[in-house]
Amino acid sequence: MRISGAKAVINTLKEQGVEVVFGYPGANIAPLYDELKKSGIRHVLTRSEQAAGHAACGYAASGKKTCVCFATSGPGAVNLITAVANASADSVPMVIFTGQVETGRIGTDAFQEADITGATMPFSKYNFLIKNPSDIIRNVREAFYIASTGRKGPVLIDIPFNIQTEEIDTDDEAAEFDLPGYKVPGNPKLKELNEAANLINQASKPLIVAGGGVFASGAEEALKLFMESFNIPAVYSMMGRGAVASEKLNLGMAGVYGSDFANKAVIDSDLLILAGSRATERTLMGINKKSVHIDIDPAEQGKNIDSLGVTGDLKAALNALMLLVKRKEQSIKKEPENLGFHEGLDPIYFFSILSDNLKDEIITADVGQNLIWALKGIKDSKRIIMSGGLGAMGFALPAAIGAATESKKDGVVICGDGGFQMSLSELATAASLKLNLKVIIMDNSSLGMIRELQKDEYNENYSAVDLTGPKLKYIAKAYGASYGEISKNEEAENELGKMMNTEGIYILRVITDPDESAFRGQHHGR
Amino acid sequence: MEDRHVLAVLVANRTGVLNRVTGLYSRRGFNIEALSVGTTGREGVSRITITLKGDKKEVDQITKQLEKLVDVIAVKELPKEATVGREVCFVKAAAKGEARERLIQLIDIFRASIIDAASDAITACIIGDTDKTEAFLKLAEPFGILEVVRSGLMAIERGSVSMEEEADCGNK
Ligand SMILES: Cc1ncc(C[n+]2csc(CCOP(=O)(O)OP(=O)(O)O)c2C)c(N)n1
Repeated sequence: MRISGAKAVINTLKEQGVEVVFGYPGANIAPLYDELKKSGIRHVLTRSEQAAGHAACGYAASGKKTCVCFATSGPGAVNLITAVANASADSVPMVIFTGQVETGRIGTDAFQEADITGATMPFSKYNFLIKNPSDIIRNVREAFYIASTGRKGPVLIDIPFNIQTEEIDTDDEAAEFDLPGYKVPGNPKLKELNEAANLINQASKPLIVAGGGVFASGAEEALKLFMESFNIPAVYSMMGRGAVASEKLNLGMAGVYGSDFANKAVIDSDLLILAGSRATERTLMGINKKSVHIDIDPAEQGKNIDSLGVTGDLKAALNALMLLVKRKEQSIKKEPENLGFHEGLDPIYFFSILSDNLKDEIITADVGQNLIWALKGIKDSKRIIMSGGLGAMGFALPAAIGAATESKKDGVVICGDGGFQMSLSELATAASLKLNLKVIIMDNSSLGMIRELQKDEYNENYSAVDLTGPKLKYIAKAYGASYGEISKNEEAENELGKMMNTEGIYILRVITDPDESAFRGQHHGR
Repeated sequence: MEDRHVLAVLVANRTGVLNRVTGLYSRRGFNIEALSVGTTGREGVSRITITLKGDKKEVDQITKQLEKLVDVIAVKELPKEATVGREVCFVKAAAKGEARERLIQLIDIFRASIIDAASDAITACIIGDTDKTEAFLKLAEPFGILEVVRSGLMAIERGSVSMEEEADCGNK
């Protein structure tokens, strides 16, 4: 049968089980949109390509599927770049389709031509520029395979307009994968596991550092079993929040935003077991000590910290170690962080009350002080979907839209007034999808995190951090959302109760003092 | 210890593969000295020889980052004692009067050849390992070097070891 390149793409998406595409159309991707409409695959139209990419990330993070986004050539593709970099930093399985000018025009600086494969090369796992229609089916299958195996990540496919319209013969069986250099680590090697077990058995105070890889591997249960069987405690990195299911052995978040208690546990330990964590400067702050590093990406081992590497799937590694490790007899005392709430509006107090009100909502958070307060106030068994590696403002709202699309659950969005204004147009997307989103805006009329930095390290020389925003009450009205506002601790209980029980979009403005600190005496992490 | 290392990299011949490899170097701040590329005995497979300076940890990290690239089939650090390496170097030097005679002598001593001669300049072609090339350049310097073109080192292991066989890639 002869079909267009565009139809071949859409057929292959269906074959891959794709149910939703996040995107934004344009002339150079029109053939793909034409076929998408006919296919029955759902499309979510965000209000910018960047938001489409972040929404797709939220979708992937809240489920187990590879997410898909579409954008047109030139400006559309370039608008997606932040989201691609974000997906790369957080190992999100994502396949991106961008339209491109006709093959004959490539390289001529044609209208809406941008070299998107060149631009995304450093922060995509792989990318393709399809120049031959007969490669389409194979390349699309390869893209899904690469994005979702090994260390996951974004794969971009750039398809020139004429390749979308030219016909291909589907009777030619699409050739086998042609990826001679692509290696997916298999199960961890017995030799590495034995060496790791030896180190663990010799250690008297081993400590697990759980990272985002626990989620990527689906190893939450295996980790809990491992910890509880051997009485080994864990701290977690920001990306690993919610991954440590053993309550009594969870010592909290380590790192620049972590608790003193967790950081002390890192220092006091005599062996770190890095479980799907990159051991970045933000989490381990340059600490170098004996460690076992279990990761699917061998390039992470020995990069930030010297270690004995165990390469492979974390869940498989933990399960295998169950047979090799011996139980530790150590008493583990957990000290809750004494935060000492203050009068007026204490954001951490506010988040602790939110925490009590949470059921099974999906939480997304933005970047800045708001995130730090949320991390401190919300109980640490709760996962928070965030832009971890890139720290991109404007992530939380679109990510919540994607997450709600996948999970059908209600969403709680946490952001500052700065980050909110970067993505505020997405309220329309959420409204049109009739989502139940609770959007909490920590309004300090400033770019709080940077303001605090300028306060502490630049002599209070406040440069470009005062921020005026729209009257949020009217914004709520304009988007058909409910609205609430608080400025005192005493109001939190009531207002949050109301918010959690209201359907649709709810905007809660939490008025905080611009001088409110996220660190309370701790050091700044940039 | 910062040492000179030679990496041999087999890659799938795809558009952009060289960009991906060199992009990695600039992005990760690796210190690359020379690079040479060409096809191999296998269809669709090219070989990149990279000469770089760094300590063991850096070389390990570079190797892993290279291996991580989808189009990279195999990476191998070539062992110094069991590797032969050659590079081609063209040196154009001023050659007038009695200096001309001495330059020709130098070229002879190094078993280099003269590939172009003009009344006031001579271009020599020297083939050898990096040390030999650099020794020649040093000795030729007093003559007044006008231009140098170096191919970058190509290297291959001694004996019957074959990286292509080990990687089992492409069709012969
Ligand atoms: C896209 C982007 N631009 C700039 C920054 C740098 N940055 C980090 S935190 C921050 C301030 C955020 O302000 P706001 O969203 O109001 O949150 P707050 O810190 O006040 O809670 C800025 C500008 C960033 N992380 N992302």
